[in-house]
Amino acid sequence: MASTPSPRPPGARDGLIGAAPRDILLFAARTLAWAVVSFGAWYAAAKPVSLVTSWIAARVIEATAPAGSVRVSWHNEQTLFEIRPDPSTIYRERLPADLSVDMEVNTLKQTYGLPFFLALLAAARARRFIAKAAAGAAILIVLAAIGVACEVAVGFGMTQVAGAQPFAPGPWVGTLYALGLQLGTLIFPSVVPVILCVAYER
Amino acid sequence: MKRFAILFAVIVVALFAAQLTPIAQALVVDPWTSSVAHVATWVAKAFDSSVAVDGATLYSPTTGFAVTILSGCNGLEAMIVLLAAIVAYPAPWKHRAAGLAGGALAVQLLNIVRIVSLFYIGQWSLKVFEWAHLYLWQALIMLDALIVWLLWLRLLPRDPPAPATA
Repeated sequence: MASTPSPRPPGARDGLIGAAPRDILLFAARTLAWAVVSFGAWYAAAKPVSLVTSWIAARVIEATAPAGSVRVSWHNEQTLFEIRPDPSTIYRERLPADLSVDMEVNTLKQTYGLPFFLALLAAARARRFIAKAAAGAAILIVLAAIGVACEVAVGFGMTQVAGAQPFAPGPWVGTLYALGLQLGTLIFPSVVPVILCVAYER
Repeated sequence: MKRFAILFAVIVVALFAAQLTPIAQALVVDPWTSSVAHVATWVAKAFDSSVAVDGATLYSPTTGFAVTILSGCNGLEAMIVLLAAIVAYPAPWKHRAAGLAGGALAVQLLNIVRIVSLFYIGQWSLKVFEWAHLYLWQALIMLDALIVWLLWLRLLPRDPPAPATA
């Protein structure tokens, strides 16, 4: 007895790639529905998400800017960065020994890729959801931290002390910080979740 | 997949870098942004005839509220990502051109909806405006680009069947 082919349309496969238009539109509708849940949860968890991201950002700032130590805390619904310049900069620029530069940053601008990614992943009905969500979230938080670090570094570089800018980066580093700030707010949180979602499809 | 990923990344980085140059800003980004503002104003006038535009700024003389469309709000980023995804994927150029035209239209139509909605949301609540502007619409525009790309993939011609072997 001859076997009959399955009644699937030519080219159709499991998952999003090659899915029928109806399934793609349903995926979009599910993403919007899941986005209500994930964005709500993300906003409710703004403090821990921001503090984790900011802690990583603080380490990036310490490694790349003339900052001796960076402390982060939650203040006025934003992350407060307390930056103590490194001793060599304090000595060279003859700055007060107890100088601290405080900056408040809204890190939600960099972390909204997290709920977007989770909504996409849930809407795609991905297998091994927990593992994929954890890996994707880790990537997105690191990228968000780089964006936050660049935003803080740009502000730190523009800080004026007695009419001078003792922490201003060189032109190349300054351009990199500006690029990181742009990528961190415009590209990483919106494009990377989509890339991860598509990559998980393969 | 590896070829697609590399090509996609190269095109995205090259086009993002190119659009940041002063010459691209003057010749492409600024005129494009101004055009987007004018189209958005034309659409907004359907609801409120007093809405006016000055360069890339929409404003309401009645309420005094204004929004300026900057880089990042003109839909170019989503179009670059979509262009990279379409060009990097192996497909006939005729289908690529059709995908680019349709995709650009889809992204820009939604972007006009975004700008007009933000213009009215801002007059209602600045907190909601910030939320929608900074987080929600950014994601929705990119979701739009993803859906267009997935639909375009589906519409590509199928590979010819392998010849039968004896």
